Amino acid sequence: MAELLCPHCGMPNDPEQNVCSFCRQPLRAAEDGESIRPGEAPTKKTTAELEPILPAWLRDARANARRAEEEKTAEDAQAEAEHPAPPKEVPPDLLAGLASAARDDQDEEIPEWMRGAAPVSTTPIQSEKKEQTFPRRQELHWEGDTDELGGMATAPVPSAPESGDALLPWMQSAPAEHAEESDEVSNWLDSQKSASQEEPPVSPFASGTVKPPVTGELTDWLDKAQADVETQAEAPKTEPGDSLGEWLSNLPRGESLSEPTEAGETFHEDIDLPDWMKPAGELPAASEQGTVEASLPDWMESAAQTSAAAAEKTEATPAPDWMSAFRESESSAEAEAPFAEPAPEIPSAPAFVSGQESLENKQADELFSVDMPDWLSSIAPTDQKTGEALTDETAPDAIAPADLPSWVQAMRPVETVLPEAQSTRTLADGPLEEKGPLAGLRGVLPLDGLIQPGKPRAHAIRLQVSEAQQADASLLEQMLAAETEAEPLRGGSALASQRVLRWVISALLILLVSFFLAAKSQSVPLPATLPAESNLILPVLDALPADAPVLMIFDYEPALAGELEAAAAPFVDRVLGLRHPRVTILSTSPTGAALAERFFAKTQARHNYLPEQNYINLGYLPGGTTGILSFAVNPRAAMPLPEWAYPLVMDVHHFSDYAAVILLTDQAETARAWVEQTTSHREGRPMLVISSAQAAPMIQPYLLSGQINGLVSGLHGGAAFENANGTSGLARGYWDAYNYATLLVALTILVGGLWNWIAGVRSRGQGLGEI
Amino acid sequence: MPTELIYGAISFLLTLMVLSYLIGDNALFRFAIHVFVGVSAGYVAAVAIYQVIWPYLLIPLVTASMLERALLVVPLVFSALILMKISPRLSWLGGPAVGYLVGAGAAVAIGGAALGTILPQVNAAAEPFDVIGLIQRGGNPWQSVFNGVVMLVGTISTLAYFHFGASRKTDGSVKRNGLIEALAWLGKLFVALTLGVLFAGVYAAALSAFVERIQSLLSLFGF
Repeated sequence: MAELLCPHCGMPNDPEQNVCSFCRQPLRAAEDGESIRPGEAPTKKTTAELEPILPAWLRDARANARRAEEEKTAEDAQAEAEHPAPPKEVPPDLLAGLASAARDDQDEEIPEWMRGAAPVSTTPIQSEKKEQTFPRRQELHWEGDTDELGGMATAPVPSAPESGDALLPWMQSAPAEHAEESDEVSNWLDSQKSASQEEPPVSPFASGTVKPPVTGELTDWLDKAQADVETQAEAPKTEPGDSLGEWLSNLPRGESLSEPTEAGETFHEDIDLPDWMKPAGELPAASEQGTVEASLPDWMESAAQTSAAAAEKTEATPAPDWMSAFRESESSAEAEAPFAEPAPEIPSAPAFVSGQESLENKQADELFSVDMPDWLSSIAPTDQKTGEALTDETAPDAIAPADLPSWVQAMRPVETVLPEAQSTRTLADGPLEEKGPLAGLRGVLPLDGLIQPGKPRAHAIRLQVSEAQQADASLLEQMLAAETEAEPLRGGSALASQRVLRWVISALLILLVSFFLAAKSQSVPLPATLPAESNLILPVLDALPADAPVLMIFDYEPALAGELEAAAAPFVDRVLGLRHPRVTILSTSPTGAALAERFFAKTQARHNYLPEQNYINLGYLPGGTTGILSFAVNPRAAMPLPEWAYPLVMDVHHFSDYAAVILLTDQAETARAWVEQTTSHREGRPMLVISSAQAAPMIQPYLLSGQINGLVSGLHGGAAFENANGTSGLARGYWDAYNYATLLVALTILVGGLWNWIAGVRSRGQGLGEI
Repeated sequence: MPTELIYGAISFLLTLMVLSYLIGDNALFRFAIHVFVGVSAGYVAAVAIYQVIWPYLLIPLVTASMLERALLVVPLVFSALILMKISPRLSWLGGPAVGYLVGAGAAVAIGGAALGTILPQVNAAAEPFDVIGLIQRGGNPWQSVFNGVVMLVGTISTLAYFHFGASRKTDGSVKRNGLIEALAWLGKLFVALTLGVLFAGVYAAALSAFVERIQSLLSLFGF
C-alpha cells in the first residue's frame, strides 16, 4: 500500500490520514481561502462536518463519550437544574475515548515528555482544517484540542519543553525540596494509576489505557497533579509549599473540581492539572484562602481576583462561569445545533476573562490581561465560545460546531505580545486604537502634542501696514506701471498724413511734368552761358584735330540714361559736328555698350554715324580698375578684338594715341578710376567728362586740379551746351518740366520746412502750457 | 514700327509698375524689380560669355600662338579655381585666384589713388596760393587765394569736425580745444553744405530721369 509522505517532516503516513502522525502537520495543502490572517475576523466553523475525517481513535473516543452521555442523561438534567457537579465517572466527551485512542496511536511517535500526558498529548482531536488553518499549532506540544479539552491543554507554552525539560520558567521558582518530586514523573503516573484503581476511571490516566510515562521528562506540575489525585479524596486542602510551589499547592483544586458546573465533566477531579492549565474558574476557590493568593504568580493574581469576583455571582459552584457555560454548552451542544457567534474580542484582556468580567472590574481585567501570557489568554475564549457553541448544538451524533479557537484570534498583534510595562502604560495613557495593525493598543501614537482637537485657530492674513506705508507702496506701484506702460505712438495719424502728402506731391510732380512735357513748353529759357567747368571744354574742342581717334567711355547705368543722354548729346553733337572724330566706344559696365548704341541712335542720328564706319564699339572692358589700367597701358592687349583691325583704329596702339577721352559717367568713382589710371598714360591728352548731376560735385576737384579738362554735368550742362550750340534737343524738351518740377520741389521743401517749424513751435507752446 | 510699339508698351508698363511704389510695396513693383534683375543678370551673363570668355579666352586658346596659349593657361586655371568657390569643400581652391584678384586690384587702386588723386589734389590745393604764377598766367590772384582759403578752411574745418581728441579739465569735464571746437563748428557747416550739394545733385539727376520717363510715356501716346 502506498504511503503518503509528509511534506513537512517527510515521514510516511497512511494515505487516508489528513494529518501527519509524526509532526501533526497537514498532509495536504490547505486552500488559501481557509486561512485567517491577523486582523481578520474569525468565521464560524462547523466541526461536525469534519468528523468523517477524524482519525479512528478520535471517532471512537467521541462515540464512547456519546454513549456515556446517554447513560447519564437523566442525571445530567437534574444536575443542570441544581448546578450539580459533573459525575465523576463520566469523563469529558472527547476524552472518554482516549484510552482506545491511546491504544491505536501507540505506534505513533510522541515526544517522550508527552507520553506521560497521553490523554492530552496523544489525542489529535483537531480537525484537518484547523491544523491547516493554524500552523501555529506546530508549536503546541500539548496536543489536546482546545475545544475538546476545554481550553486547558491547548495553550502554547512558550517554554514548553522539547528535550525533556519539565520545568516551565514560572515553575522554576518552586522550592527546592520539591525538585526531587518534580523530576520523578513516574511517581506521578504511579499515583495516578493507584488513584484510578481506587476510584472509577474518569480519565484516560485513571482508566489505565494510557501508559504512564516512563521517563522523567514530565513537568513538576504533573507530579504534583499525581500527588493531588492521591490526596484529593482524603484531604481536599493541601498545605502550602507543595511540590509544585506553594501557590499551586495551596490551590483548592480538589474542591473546585469536585463540583463541576456541568455533569459529565469530571476530568477536573480526576486529573489534577497544574494551575496554569486550569481555567480561571478554579481560582475562585483560591479566593477563599488568602494564603493561596500570596503564592500565586503575579499574572495569576489578577486572574484570581477576577475569578473571585466572578465567584461571588456563582457561589453555588466553585467553577467560574465560563467553565459552567462550557459544561452547559457541552452537554447541550449536541442537542442544539445552532452555532453561537463568537464573543467580541477584547484585546486588552484575555478573552475568557473578559467574557466573565463585568464592567465594574475593568481595572482588574486590564491588570489580569496584561499579566496573562498569550498562550493562557487564548484558552478561555475558546472555552467560552466552545461552550456556547455546544449549547446550541442539537445533533447528538455530530461534532459540536465550534468556533475558531481563541488562540487563533489571539494571534493578532494585540497586547498579549506586548511587554507588560508598555501595555500598562498605554492602557493608562493614550486612546485605544481600534483599527489597523495597532488595534488594541492604547496610547501608541502620541497625538496630544501633534494634533490639536478642533479647528485650527484662524489667523488674520491682512498685512499690517500703516497709512504712510500704503501711500509709498501705491506710489511705487504707479511708478512701476508707468515704466512698463508703452507710450502711445503719436505718429499714427502723422504717418497716414505723410502717405497722403506723398501721394499729393507725387501727383503734383507727375501732373506738372506731364503737363509741361505734353505742352512742349519752352517758357523757361536755357542757360545763357556755359558753366565754368563746361566753358573749359571749348578750347579743348578747338584744339581737337579733325578725324582724330577719340575714345568715348559710356560708364553709366540705364536708370540715368535720360539725364546723361540729355547732358551729353549737345556736347557730342558739337564734337561730331565740328571734328568728325573716329570714335572708339568702350565701357567698364556691361550695359555700357548697349547704352552707347542707344545714344548714337537716339541723339546722333542726324550725324549719320554708323558702326564700324564712323565708330567701333569695343564693348565691355572687364576687370574694373585693373582693366582700365590694362587698357591704358596697352589697349590692344587689354581687349584683343578683331575690331582693332578696322581702319578707324588702325593707328591706335597706345592709349595716348587717342586725341581725346570723353567719359560719360554717373558715378564719381568711375570718373576717379579713369582719371587715376589714365593720367600718366594719356600723355597730356585731354579728358572731358560728362557726368550726372549727382556725380559732378565729386568730380569737380579733378577739374580744378587739371586732371580733367572739362566737365558737363547734368541737364543744366546739356541745356547750356544746347543753348551754346543754338540747337534744340532733349535738354530743351526737358528743361521747362525740369525747372518747374524743381520749383515745385523747392516750394514743397520750403512749405514743408515752414510747416514743420510751426508745428514745432506749437508743440513747444503746448508743452509749456501743459507744464 | 511694331517692334518700337512693343518696346514702348513694355517700357510703359514697367514704368507704371515701378511708379506704383508710390502706394507702397506691391506685387507690380516687385514684378518689375524681378524682371529688371533677371534681365540684367541674363544680359550680364551674355555679355560675359560673348564679350569676355569667348573672345578673350576660348578663341585665343585655339588660334593664338603657343606662347599666348601657355599664358592663357594661367587665367584658365584661375577661372577654374574660382569656380571651386561654388563647393564649400573645394572653395579653398579658389583662394589663390581670389587672392590674386584682390591683391592686384588693391595694388592698382592704391597706386592710382596715390599718383592720380592724392598728389595731384595736394598740388591743386596749394596752387591757388601761387599768386606769382597766377599773376604770370594773367589770373586774379585774390580770387584764387580766396578760393584757396575757402577750400583750405573747408578742408581743415571738416577734418577738425571729425577730430574727437579732447583733454580733461580741472573741473573734471572733458572738452576739445577751443580752436578745434571752432573749426569743428565751421567744418560742420561745410559738411552740411557738401551734403546739401550732393543731395541737390542726386535730386537733379533723379528729376532728370523722371522727366525722361514721363517723356517716354507721353511719346507712346504721340506727345
